[in-house]
Amino acid sequence: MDIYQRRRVWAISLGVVLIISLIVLYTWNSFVLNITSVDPAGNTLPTAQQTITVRYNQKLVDAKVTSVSQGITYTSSVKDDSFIIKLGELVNVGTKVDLTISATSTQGNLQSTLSFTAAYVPLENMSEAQQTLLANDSAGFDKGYPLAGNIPHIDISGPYSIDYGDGAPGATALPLVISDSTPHGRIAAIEWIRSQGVDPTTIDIRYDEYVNPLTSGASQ
Amino acid sequence: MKKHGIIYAIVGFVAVIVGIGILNYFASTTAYTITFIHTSSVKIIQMKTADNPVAAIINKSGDTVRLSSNLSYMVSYIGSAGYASGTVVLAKESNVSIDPDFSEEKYTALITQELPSIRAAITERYPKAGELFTIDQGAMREKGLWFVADLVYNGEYSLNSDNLRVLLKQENGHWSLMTEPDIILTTIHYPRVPVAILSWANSAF
Repeated sequence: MDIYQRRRVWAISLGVVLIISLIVLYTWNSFVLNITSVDPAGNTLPTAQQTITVRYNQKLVDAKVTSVSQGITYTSSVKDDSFIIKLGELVNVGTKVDLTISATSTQGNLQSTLSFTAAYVPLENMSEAQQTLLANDSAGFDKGYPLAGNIPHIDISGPYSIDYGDGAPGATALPLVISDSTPHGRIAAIEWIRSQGVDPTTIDIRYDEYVNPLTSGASQ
Repeated sequence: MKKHGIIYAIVGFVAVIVGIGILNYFASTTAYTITFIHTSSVKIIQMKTADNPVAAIINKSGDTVRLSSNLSYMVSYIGSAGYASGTVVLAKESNVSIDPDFSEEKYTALITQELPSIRAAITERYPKAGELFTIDQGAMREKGLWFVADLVYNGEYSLNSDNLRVLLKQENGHWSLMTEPDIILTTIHYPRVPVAILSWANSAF
């Protein structure tokens, strides 16, 4: 093998190694769990924004918040490649929200720390997803009051009528009041709530006329 | 020499193809590890097909199988004596643990056995319960941890003669009342009880 042939072999080998390296590098990124985007993108959490969405490069198996700033409440959910953290309430200007999150995909686990400071951000500067969410705020109201469109509801054959009642001071949701009812009517009223696709378990239900013979002070 | 170069190039090319194939295999499949107790005949079945073919048979607890990530699967199993048979949809979890609940037959026997102490726990807290209500049925779940009692009003019909339900939990061999007797048990009044348990209690009868 002369020097030219040797060089040619080296060149071909080098080319092959380079190609393999490039392919490995290109595909390796999809094997290691990484964050691809966070909404909000920077360190500023708009005061009108209640959700923080962390998107990964892989479908998640599980994700959780492992630590959070004191006084911050939240619920979280995993949807495909996204981990969504919904704050219990909107935060005031200047509030610091520090989160440590742990995400798991079939390929591995990633712990990340996110730090935000709440500040006023004009709507047009918020993410497109947040703008859409805020524009559809009425949908949020429907979520909190899923029966709102069909209330008040009266069924004279039940008999019962259902309407929202007055909320207690500081209450976050209005109670649903079942009135003008009999024992059969109350069963029918609860069945009607179920028929609207709402689980009565999650609603503050009160009864106008009913006195529980076991828990009312006079009867117990 | 030229011959050698061609051979190296072919070997390199084949190595690349094989490498891509291996990477593609791992990228397009998910490894599912199935652990189970009190069950037998554990199978992974492909869903959303007309014939639901068996994708894999899990012979022993802890076995791992690798299946296409693009298809939907569920695990079907047959419960051992006293345990329920069932299915678990393989959603996102790659590690699935199967520990079936008791069978209906076992629950029926267990409820019959536990009813006297359940009734005693209720009437101890609400003395009128035994007088106004018949307490001889209910539903149990989580291997006898939770019980929802059906309080059937047995007095004269009146505007307050509703049947009630009350949730109990077995703690250290004793039944503790977790809610008051009520028409519907809600998360608003009992935020410490898991919503799934309350929802189940409300739809049990």
